[in-house]
Amino acid sequence: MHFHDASITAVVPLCEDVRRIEIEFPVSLPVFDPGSHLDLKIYVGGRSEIRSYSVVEHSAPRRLVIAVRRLPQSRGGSLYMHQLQAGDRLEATLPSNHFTLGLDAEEVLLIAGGIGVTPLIGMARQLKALNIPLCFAYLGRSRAAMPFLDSLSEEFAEQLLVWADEERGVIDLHALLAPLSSAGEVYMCGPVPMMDAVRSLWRAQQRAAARLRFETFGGAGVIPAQSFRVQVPARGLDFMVPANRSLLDALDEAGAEPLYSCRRGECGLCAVEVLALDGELDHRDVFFSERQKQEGQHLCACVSRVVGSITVELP
Amino acid sequence: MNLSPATDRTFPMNSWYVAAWDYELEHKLLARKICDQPVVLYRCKDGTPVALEDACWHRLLPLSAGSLVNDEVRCGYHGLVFNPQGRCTHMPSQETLNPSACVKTYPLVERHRFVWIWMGEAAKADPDLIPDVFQNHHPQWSGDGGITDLACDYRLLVDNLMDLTHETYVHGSSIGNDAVAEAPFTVRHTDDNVFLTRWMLDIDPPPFFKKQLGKPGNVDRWQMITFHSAATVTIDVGVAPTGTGAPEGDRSAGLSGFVIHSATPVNATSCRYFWAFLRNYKLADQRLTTEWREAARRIFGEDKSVLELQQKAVEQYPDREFYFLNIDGGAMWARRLIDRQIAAEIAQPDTAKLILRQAAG
Repeated sequence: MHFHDASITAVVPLCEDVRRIEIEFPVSLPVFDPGSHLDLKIYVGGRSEIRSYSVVEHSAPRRLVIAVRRLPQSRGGSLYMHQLQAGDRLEATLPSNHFTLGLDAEEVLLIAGGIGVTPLIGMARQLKALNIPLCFAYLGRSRAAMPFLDSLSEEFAEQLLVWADEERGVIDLHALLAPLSSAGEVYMCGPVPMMDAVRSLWRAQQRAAARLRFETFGGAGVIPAQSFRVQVPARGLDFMVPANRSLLDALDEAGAEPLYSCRRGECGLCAVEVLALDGELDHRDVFFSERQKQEGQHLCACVSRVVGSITVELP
Repeated sequence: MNLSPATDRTFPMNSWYVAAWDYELEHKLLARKICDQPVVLYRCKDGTPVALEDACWHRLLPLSAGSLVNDEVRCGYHGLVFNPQGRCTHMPSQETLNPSACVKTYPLVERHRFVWIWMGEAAKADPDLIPDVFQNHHPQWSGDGGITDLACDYRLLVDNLMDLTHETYVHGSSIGNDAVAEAPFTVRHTDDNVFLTRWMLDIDPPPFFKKQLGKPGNVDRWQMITFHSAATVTIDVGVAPTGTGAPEGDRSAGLSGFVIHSATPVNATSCRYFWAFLRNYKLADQRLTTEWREAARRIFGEDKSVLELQQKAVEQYPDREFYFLNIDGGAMWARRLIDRQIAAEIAQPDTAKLILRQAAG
């Protein structure tokens, strides 16, 4: 992973808590690929960490745009991003893609939840340009909390379905999926509970797992991040994980030598075994199945958290 | 998509290339390298051709070393399975699928007996851009073709085909004679094509055509070459007895052939040359089909010797530019179109859509 010496060329507030940030690279960008993201080095509590952000669009041959929501319950990355101003330097990778858009679907349903709209905007544009039947569902708490809403309404007209909970209550996902043919595909990005609900419905409707695509950056969970206690008896460890640290980083720092790879809750390598729990598990990964999450015997240390205290064993 | 902004690329990615002859693709895995990318090709049970990146998402083992399970490819190492859309449908020892798990797919179109592949941005893969070589599969045309692997830059083959002066010296025993080297020609171009026309009037027919025509006396011979950027050249060739009106448009006393050449870059210094030799007379004559095909194979084998020697010479003198002659006009235009295509991919068009600058809400 090569980090370039990039810089911020513009910061624009979009809507409550969301900023559009334009980043300039010292080299030409590869062709824009919908669903792509870049990795940035951020600083939390004096430590360098890496965060991924979806690319909304390329605004010039060397410039791209991301959008960041400030999430008080997150691990501090969004707060750092919101301090940045035009002219600030930033270390960033060129975009790469884990969330590629297939172009041979009969029809596509995009489901965006809040700031999860960012990777889907480029997809919607490409699908529209190729005349692939498209429904772009944009869900959010309130219109004021949904970035790009006005411009997307204008650009996608009747292809855009806007659903603000504040106005219409919680969306009936069953009704949202119903019109989609069995050969149709879904791409989604949004809060974990929304994606969990869609995944579970998708399974219940016996749709092909490969036709449900989603992006997760180990985003915020159902419960705001808070500090919790961890014990690792095999290594004689007992420490607190601060609200702005991941369990994985805390284990690493404490010398527990955790294994990990993706750091976004997908690969399962960082899973720890739960020996005892006093409180609640906050699963934020997509590696464990619903059944496994309910069993509560394992936890993905990179993204998932705990309310209370936990005793774990590492491989 | 990883279209890296490399400046020394010799081939455009956003172009249709022949990946295979129709008969080569079956319900089994076929590994090919195209434009420096490893690709695995196969047909689904219903005949639909599929092209995937030939590297497992997990540990990069070529998927072509695995096996087909119905219409999906199973990696021969840990059993990950990928469907024709490149999505992983099975992962060992876990209850979920990693959402990032997929391999790249490449658009394919089967047309005119070739399976065409698009290695660049899938969204730009417009089937209307496929060179029209309908003669390769048409009731009024007969013939067949083959494949010749060339250890040379595909552009050397394009150069070769865009200037048939070489027939006199490379193919003297078959299709060349002095008339080819001496006849004047015209060159025209558009954004995507170069046209080169050469009429050789009232000439002694070269050996191959003399035999095919089976008529005594001199002929009017034509070569109408079309370059379809980036890698296909078609040539309308033929002879008619002099005085029967061929230059004016009446070819009825003569015979026409249509030669299709498509050079698919394997990498910067090698290519796979797909060719076909079609005729519009004695359509049912299988012997003629075989004779023409084998004659073409011999003739293109002569080109292979020259082009591979030339590639070695180019590598021997990396800093030497070619000298150009009047006869190189067609080839130079072809190269210019190729260069423009590559440049357009490197200097990405400004995709700014600034309407997303929304004011605070």
